[in-house]
Amino acid sequence: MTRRPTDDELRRRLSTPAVPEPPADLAARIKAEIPGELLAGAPAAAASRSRQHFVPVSLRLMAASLLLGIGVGWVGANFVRPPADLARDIALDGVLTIPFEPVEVLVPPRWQAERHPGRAARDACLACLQEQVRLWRFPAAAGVSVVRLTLFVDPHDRLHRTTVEGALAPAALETPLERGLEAARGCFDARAEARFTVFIEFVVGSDGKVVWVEATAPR
Amino acid sequence: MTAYRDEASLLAGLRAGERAAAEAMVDATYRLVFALLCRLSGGDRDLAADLTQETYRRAWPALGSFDGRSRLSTWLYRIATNTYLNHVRRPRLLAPLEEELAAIVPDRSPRQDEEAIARQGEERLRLAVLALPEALRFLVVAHFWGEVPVRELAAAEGVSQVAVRKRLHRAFAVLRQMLEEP
Repeated sequence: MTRRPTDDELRRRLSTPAVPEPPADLAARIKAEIPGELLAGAPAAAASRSRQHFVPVSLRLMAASLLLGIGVGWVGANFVRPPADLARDIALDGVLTIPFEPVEVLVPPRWQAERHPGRAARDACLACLQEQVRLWRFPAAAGVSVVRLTLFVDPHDRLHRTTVEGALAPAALETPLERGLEAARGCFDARAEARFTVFIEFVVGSDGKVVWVEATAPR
Repeated sequence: MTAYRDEASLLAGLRAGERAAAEAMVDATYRLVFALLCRLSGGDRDLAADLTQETYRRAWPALGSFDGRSRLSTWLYRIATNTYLNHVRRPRLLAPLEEELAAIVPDRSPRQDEEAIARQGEERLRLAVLALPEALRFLVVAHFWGEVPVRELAAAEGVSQVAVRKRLHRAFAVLRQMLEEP
């Protein structure tokens, strides 16, 4: 007999107030690192505010045209090249990234596994998953290994998750994946749905460094 | 935020490059960011302080891209969460506890049984939250540990409040499964 925490219990445990005091000098340490560039615009901005009502109309028109031009350029640039995902950029800041090709990872972002009619449900689903896994190509470049790999099977609103951690060579992935699939089978057994969503999240490393991080979690 | 009446004027000050605005932003947010990082790092105050500093180091150059859609603190929470994840994703931190090291980790049982069990439960919960898929993790971290309201999260993520609630519900379903006890 297993016991799962209730929503209220989870809410209470997550909300437990624990507000430790930061070190006394933390604010000063942060402020000492405010970069100089942040200040670059200050005098100009202050001066422009104080002079605003003396600026001739012709100059204002010229400035407006210039701003319009910049605006049009910005819109054009953004259509040509969409803005990068800031969160992703920040997450990868300081992480050595390498091009996609050397780390050949081809995993469908999300796909659906369906029960095959006329066969025992668990075997049909497992066979379907195994077919999919055979199509995946994991990091093939020398020295590249999988640091963490998580297989998710999502029967609608419930996720089954299997995580493997450690520096695994591509060849060594087969066993943990098999283990994950075996665990996923239990998930199929317990559910009546005909269709499941499967996705995978993994972190790839090389020579002791994380070199590429990718998640194919549902959006 | 003494010289800045509200967040809009603070933001205007930041955009004008005013140092006072940057300092006011630090004063208004650093305790919140530190508290969030403390929760993320399981109460490690030194690590949380270092990562708080790192969060602001990353925030300054990115300030120009902050669109004001969410509050500054929510934006900083996102950076703080990514900073923490970046820190723990380093392979060295994924290494298993060495046997020699395990041998010197003090065994607190049985005199602090209840406290130890409570701490274990908290740690399990923390690890479960960290193991959530990315799309769900930030919402749980920001909503429960950063006390960001659903409305604010919806604005920050560019989705409806219903979508945020659905994702939180989904996160709870995953957490329940992960925290199942025999």
